[in-house]
Amino acid sequence: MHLGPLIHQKSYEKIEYLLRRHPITFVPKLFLSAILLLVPVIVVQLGITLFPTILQNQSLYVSGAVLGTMYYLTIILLFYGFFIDYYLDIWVVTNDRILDMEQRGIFARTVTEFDINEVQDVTTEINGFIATLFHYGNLRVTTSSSNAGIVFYQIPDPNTIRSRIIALADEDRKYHAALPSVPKN
Amino acid sequence: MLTIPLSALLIIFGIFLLIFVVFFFLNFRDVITSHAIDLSTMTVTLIVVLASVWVFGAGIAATSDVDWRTPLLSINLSSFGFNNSL
Repeated sequence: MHLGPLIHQKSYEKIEYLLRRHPITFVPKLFLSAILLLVPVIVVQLGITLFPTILQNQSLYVSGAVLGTMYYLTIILLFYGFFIDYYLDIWVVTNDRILDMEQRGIFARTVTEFDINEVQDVTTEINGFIATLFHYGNLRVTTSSSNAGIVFYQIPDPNTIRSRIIALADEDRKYHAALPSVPKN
Repeated sequence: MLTIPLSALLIIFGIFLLIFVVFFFLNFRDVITSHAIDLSTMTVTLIVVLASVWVFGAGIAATSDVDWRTPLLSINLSSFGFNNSL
C-alpha cells in the first residue's frame, strides 16, 4: 500500500507504524464465512437423505437452485465486506501525526488526525485469554484538545506502541518548544 | 385459479443481481478512490469476482433444462371470494 499519497505525507515526516487489527481477529469472520458456505451443502444432503425424491419436483429444484445461487452470492459479498472492514481499518503513526482511518460498514469511512505533540494520555487494554495469548489489545490515545481521542482496536503488541508514541510525543514537544516564537504585531 | 410460473423466480433473481452488482461495484469504487488499493485488496477482489461469476454460471447451468412455464404456485382464487378464473 502506498501510504504517502493516502496520508498526504509531508517531506519531513517519517512513518513509524502502519497498524491494522491483529490477523487472528479476522479468523472468526473467515470461519463464519466458511460455515455459512457449508450450510446449503449440509441442508441439501440432509434433504436428499430424508426425502430422496425431493429434487424430482421441478418447482422445488429450481427454487433451490435460484435461492442457493442468491445465498452464495450474498455470502461472497458478506465475506468481501468483512475483509474490507478488516483491511481498511488503518492507524498510522508518524513522527508528526496520528491518523485513524476507520471503515464503518461498506460505504462509510471516518478519518481522524491530530498532531502527535497533542497526545496527553496513552492507555492500553488487553482483555481476555485469546488477546493475552496473541499479544493484541486496544490502545486509547487522548489529546489535550479533545477528550474523545482515538482508539486503535485489537492492534498487535500495544504496549510497545504505547511506549513509542509517548517517546515520539515528547520528542515533538521538545522540537516545538525549541522553535523561535513568532512575534505578534 | 391463479398460476404463477417458475419464471417469476427469475424476476426476483434479476432484482437481486442488480442490487448485488450495484453494491459490489460501489464498494469496489469506494476502495479504489480511497487510494487504499494494493496487491492484497486486488487479489481478494479478484477472487470474489471469480467466485461470483462461477456461482452465477453454476446457477445458470443447473437451471438450463428447466421449463420456466411450469407452475411454481397455484392459488385458488375462489377461496378468497373471486369467481372469475384468471
